[in-house]
Amino acid sequence: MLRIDAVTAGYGHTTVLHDVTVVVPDGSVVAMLGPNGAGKTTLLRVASGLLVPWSGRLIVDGTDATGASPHRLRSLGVCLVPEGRGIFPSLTVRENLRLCCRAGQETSGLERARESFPVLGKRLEQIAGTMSGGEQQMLALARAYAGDARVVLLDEVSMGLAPKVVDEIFAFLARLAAEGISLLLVEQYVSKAMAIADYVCLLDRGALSFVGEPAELSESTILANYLGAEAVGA
Amino acid sequence: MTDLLPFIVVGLAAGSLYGLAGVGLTLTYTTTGVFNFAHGALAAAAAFVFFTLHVDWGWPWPLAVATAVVVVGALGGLVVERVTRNVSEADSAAGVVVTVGLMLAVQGLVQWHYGVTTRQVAPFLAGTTGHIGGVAVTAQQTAAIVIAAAATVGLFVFLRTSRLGTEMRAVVDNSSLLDLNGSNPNRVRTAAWMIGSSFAALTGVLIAPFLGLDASLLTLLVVQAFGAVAVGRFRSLPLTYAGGIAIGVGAALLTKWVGGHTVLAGLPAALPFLVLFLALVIWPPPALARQAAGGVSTRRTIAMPLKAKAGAGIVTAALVIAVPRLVGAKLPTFTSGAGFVIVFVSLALLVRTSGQISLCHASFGAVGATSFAYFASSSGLHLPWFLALVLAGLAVVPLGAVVAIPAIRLSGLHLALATFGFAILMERVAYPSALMFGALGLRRAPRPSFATGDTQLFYVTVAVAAAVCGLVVVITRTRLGRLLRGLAESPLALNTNGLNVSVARIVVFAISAFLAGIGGALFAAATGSVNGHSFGSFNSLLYLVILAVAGRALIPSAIVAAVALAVAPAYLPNAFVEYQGLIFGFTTVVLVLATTVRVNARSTRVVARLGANPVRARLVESGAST
Amino acid sequence: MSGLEVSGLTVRFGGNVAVNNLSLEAPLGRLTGLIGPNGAGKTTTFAAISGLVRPDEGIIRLFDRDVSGLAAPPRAQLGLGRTFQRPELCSSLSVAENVALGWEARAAGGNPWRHLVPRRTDGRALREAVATAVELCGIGDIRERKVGSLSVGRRRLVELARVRAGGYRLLLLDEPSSGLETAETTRFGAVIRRMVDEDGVGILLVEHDMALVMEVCDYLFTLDFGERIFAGTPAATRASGVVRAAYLGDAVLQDAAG
Repeated sequence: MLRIDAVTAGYGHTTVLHDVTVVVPDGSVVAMLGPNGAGKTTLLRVASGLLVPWSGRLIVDGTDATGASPHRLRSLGVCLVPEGRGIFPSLTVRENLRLCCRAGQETSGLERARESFPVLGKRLEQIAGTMSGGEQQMLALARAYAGDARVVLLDEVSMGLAPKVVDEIFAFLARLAAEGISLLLVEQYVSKAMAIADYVCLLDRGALSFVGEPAELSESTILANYLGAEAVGA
Repeated sequence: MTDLLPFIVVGLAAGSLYGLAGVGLTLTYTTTGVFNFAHGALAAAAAFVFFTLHVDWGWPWPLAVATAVVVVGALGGLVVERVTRNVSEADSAAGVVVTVGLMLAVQGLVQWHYGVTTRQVAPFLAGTTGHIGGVAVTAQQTAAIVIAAAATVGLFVFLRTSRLGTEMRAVVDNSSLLDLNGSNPNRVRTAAWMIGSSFAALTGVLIAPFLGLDASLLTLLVVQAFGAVAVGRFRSLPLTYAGGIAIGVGAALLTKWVGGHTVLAGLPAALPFLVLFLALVIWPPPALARQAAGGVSTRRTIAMPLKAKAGAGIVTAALVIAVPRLVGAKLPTFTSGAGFVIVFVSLALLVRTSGQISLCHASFGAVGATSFAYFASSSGLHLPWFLALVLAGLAVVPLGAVVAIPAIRLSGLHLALATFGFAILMERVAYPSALMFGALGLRRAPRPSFATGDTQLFYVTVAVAAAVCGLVVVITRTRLGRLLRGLAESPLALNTNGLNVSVARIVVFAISAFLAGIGGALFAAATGSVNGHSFGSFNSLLYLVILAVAGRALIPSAIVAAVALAVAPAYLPNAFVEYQGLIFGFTTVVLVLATTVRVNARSTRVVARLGANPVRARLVESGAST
Repeated sequence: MSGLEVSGLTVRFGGNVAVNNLSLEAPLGRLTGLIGPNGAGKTTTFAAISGLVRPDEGIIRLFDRDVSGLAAPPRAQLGLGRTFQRPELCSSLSVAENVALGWEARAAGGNPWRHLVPRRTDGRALREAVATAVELCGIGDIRERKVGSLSVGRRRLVELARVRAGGYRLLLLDEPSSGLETAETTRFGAVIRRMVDEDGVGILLVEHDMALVMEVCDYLFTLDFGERIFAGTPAATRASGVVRAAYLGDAVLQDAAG
């Protein structure tokens, strides 16, 4: 279980998250929604160890991991798929996959990756940066699966991709969830995210404005959150 | 062809070693973003360790080579990693200062322990391995060629096939992603520093038999690898290696061709720097992805209240006026110190105000000094003294432009390297020419007719220094100064607000060169005669490091630096002069360690926030989205 | 029409098309919004307009002059100012000095010497420009504070004051409300509205705070996948299904319908 407990965090003189608590129970999918600038990426940075919170704690399976480095959190099973393309563009696909597995488990990891996205199996020797955007994102996601993560944090993984690729990616996320891997999902495709989520959080200007199950959240609340209160009336 | 063969063999051996050193340097630069000026000093240290083990203690050579390489490689790697850890991605100016400080410290340490005189050493591999077309190839040459090639190929294979090697290439792409993948990027970088330092150490051990044991000579020879690195465009290992060989062979052939012409005698040795300079200028390397814009770190100067400032000014003035009565026969030292205040103020204007780095300020001083000698002396144009002084400064301006205009578009590091290449070119090729110090290596510079006594000359020099300080203060206080500070901190903002950033940078560079020329001229007048040794290329490195140690305030730091460099030695034992490099280099390293520990917690996280690609991020997506 | 006209703008990064055949106008005296989901290409469009990124295709006209081939400084000289998503300020200088830099950089252009030997008229013009801008943006109380000690919200106001002091006629504002408190956002909206209504400048605003956009903009362009998917008044945009779909994913429409 991943628990982000009463976290306040930011950069320099700017506070981005105000006292935010989010729990990702084992085997569940949590969707984190909110407009740009609400602090979603910052939250994932805290959860993955890229950013040390000013106050509050980060707890993984009961151990306090506040201030732990990203590679330490990775060894605890927390894996972030960052915004943009989370790959090493100048390395081959095979090398990319190799680096996301622990030493000694590269072969089995490679198999898992090919299984999840068969197209990667055909491109093992290609330089990752020369693949299409969709294929690069598949490679970034395969990392999470190949490296036996237990909690996967996903930051806008469908951004800028063609609808068909987005469907394929969501199918993959559903498969991850079915295998019992927990997901914390930051996503712009609200309805797609809600469809696979067990819990939904709404983040507004760095504070949680809603936590609950998708059914409890009305369409109008989300729209208000995204497009501004007036938009709902229209 | 056959008469060229001996030169080719010599060139191949030397070039292999430049390539070897260059490959290690490129590896550490790409993986860490820090360009290690101390690379050559590590090579020198390893050479001395090897000969102590082999010659003095009688160890068999393979064991001695292995020990020297492993010990210096590992130890050097750890030290460099620790010293540069927190400057790595912050700014290139800090990286240059720190590694130059480290270089002076290591080199000074070696000289302190082993002395400064060159020790001739017998090749540790005796005899010849054979003849090629009638030219004997010594075992030592064969070893250099074979070992360098094997090490380069080995490193290439290691980077392609091993996990650690793959991680080293990955850290170049995106270090925080590597961290997210479960590998500690600092561990990977430390490993890279160790391998890179081992390559430097191996170069030192292999090159020493050709040269003798001399710490500064060995350091400089490995610095020749900079040219090879530029050919490899700061990233390609095979191209770097090939560049090293080409430079080695080219320099050897050049030696043959310029044999008869004394004018060009310095050219072969300067070839690597010519290559470095031209490669940077003609074929600018793409900036490393993570490289932030060069600039000064956030200032933390404490402003003195106006009254206190006035008080300090009056006390200083009173002291300066009283100096001739107080110091007696040591007055000329103070006069040249006043000349150096100008040199340091000019450098401080460049470094502190606009965030640029020059590693050729000693050359500017030299050109100022020799031009002044020509303009003012009775054997030259015999112009009025002050006119000659101003002309001497102006003579440097075109040179400053030649260095700065092409390099200014590049990053701070590339500007630093281009200026350093230029400094060595000047020292090797221009200093000995009749235009500058000439065959005698000496230029006489007259005193003004109205101030022939030591005391008068002191006051004249101090007056000029005070005027220059005043001018620099005015520059920094006017809107131009504000513009320059803005330039150092946010060039992007000024660019989009209509300022031609390159022109502004060149203007500062030209002002700085002008002032440095005047400083050099005054130093010449103070000492009566100057030689190229006073303005050696390594002096520029020393200036930068001393200035960095001397504090943050513009004028006071320049005065402190000038006192430390030029005046203090007169009151201290001779050893101080010999080990200035060691003392200031060591102080820099200690200061860096002390300050980064404090800033550490925040600054590293700021870097993490910017992600892997701050430049692109800043230009295209404008930084951290929340 | 005088102001900014972009036609057929295409920007590619490697194989990715960040902006595709985009056309838009931002005339003087109008507050034009540019909205769209993350990664839609808004900031890249700004970079191309201000001369920081060279577009692959397209023409950018500024005050009826083709500026496509010009670098950033000459475009600024013609009257194009911009702010950044992450404020580009000099943290060791005070607020007033940062604001002054906008005027000074533009006045200097390719001739920084101008500020070494100051002209008297320059000094007066500078002081007036800074005073007006500081007053307009409501940062008089922090005039002498170092920018390094300010919150992002305050920094955005300083950046806005800097372009105001520069006297630009056309402003590109990149996500100016992120990091601002709700009250600050409202105030910010009022400030830029005043600049358009009273000074007649043209503004192109990239913004994610839809409440602000709907409140202050006269006209909106909506981007998705680097392409313009809608153009119209805020009311028309709000009513348009295509915009909701871009923001929330196309399934929302079906959900809403069902």
